[in-house]
Amino acid sequence: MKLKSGSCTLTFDLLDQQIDFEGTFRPESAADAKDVFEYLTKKHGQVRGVFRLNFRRLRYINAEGVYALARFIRHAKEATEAQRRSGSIQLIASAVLAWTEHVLPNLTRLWDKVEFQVHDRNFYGSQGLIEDLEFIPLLRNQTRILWPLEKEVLRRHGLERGMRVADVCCGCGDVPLLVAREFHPSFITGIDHSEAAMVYARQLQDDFGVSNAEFQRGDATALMLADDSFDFVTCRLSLQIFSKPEQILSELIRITKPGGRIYTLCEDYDLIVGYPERNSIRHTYEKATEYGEALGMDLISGKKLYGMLTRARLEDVRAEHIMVDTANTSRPDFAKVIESWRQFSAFSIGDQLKLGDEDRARLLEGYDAQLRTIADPEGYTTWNMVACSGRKPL
Amino acid sequence: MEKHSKGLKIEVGLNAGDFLLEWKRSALVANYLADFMAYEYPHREMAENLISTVLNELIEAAYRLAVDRSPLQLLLRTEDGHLIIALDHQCQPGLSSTYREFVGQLVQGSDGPLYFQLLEAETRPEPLFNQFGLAMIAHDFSGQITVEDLGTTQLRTTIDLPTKELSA
Repeated sequence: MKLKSGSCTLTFDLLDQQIDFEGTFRPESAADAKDVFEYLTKKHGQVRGVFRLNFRRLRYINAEGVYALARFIRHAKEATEAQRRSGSIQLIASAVLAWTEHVLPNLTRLWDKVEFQVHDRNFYGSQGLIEDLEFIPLLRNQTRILWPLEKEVLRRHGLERGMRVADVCCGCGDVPLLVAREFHPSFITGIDHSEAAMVYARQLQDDFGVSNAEFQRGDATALMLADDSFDFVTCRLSLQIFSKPEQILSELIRITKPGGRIYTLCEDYDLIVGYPERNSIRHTYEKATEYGEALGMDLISGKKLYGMLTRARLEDVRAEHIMVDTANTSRPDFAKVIESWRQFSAFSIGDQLKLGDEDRARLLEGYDAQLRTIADPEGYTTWNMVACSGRKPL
Repeated sequence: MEKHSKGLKIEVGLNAGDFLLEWKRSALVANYLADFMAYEYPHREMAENLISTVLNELIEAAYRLAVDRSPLQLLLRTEDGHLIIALDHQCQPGLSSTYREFVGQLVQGSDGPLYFQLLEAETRPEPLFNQFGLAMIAHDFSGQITVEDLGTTQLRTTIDLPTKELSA
């Protein structure tokens, strides 16, 4: 099913009628690109309907490579028309690879049945809200209260000195830098789709004086990282915000060395409690879950991780509850997180969903109740997550 | 390599014969220099990918134009919102005017007619010196290409890439 042509690998997925390009496709001549052309025409001949060419992991192409694609499209058009069948071609690009967005759209000129799409625009579409610079203070506040608990969890899940570590969807980069500082990995890379977050992370790296870390912008569903290359791969507070988390999980597994561990962390709004204003707090997190769902997020996914990792055939799956609460955390720091959520949920998400005044007021009510709870020396409230990790089979 | 208040400058001496023997060395040079230069731009990954693609097409063109084993002198510098890539290279006898004429056509029609003519053609132009790669630089990446005659078959091809393109 695979074709290896120089530094380029093509893999055909019959179920999706899709060919995944990977590596570098810079042939020297038309003769050098012949095997790719023949592979494309052969596979195209085996499908009906939409034939997808996925370039999200093809890092480079040259003019000769583009010519080969153009030649294939002309061939596909002629073959489809000659057989009087319906058919089309989808070219799938990545917003993190300049060439795909600049070059591929021009190929649509060759046949009106060629469609161009940028995968990340669809996949990350509803997440535009969290890719802004304005979202970063919320992330920093969360790390401040979560890290003291989570670093012990990471240790129990196998993170050790000297490992090669990747943190996928690392946000503003503070956690990979804390891992670098406290666990002394041989190398750690942080990947996030947000350009603003990556710029921030690199500045933060200078502030932290960490030299064995690197940040790169990337698409979590098509990482530009080699197979089997990390001992420990983390994806924290991120699977929950995508409607297709299994696409990310398969990439996490791909880049993990056999025997290495994949560590995931998700929130679970079902588990958040507060007292004495129990009902108001619960109502708000139920509504926040509902609104998140409308944007493709799953804010009650903590409990689902165990099943997800087990279905992915990981071994030695471990799950652990992390609970930030008013007893184990500085109340002022906890309040800052809730204030950030209040703002983000009621206004950023609320505006996107065009919430009415009454719905917004009800949502704010629970956050305000939780803030009063935190301020009350006898009040008790929580922020709950589930950490789950599994070992990639040898 | 120099780093000064006005920006960064890298100069690399190559030989066309290197690519004759090992084609992939063109990509190696392009990727390495792009990776290095990309640190000058906030959107590092985008810049790296774009610079590498442009550099590779330029080197491929120069290699095809060059007299066997002739030197190639490559200079990259950042300057007032632009990345300037200059390549001094020799040109086979008889190709110089064809090449310069082609680049002239590109400059006049950077809106695309020549680009699409090349993309849609069933056959390649003759003689072949990576015309489509040069068209990609101009059309897809908004690079302004100029060619200067340095005398005795020596040419300087310069590409001016606006930084906004590298930060998009």
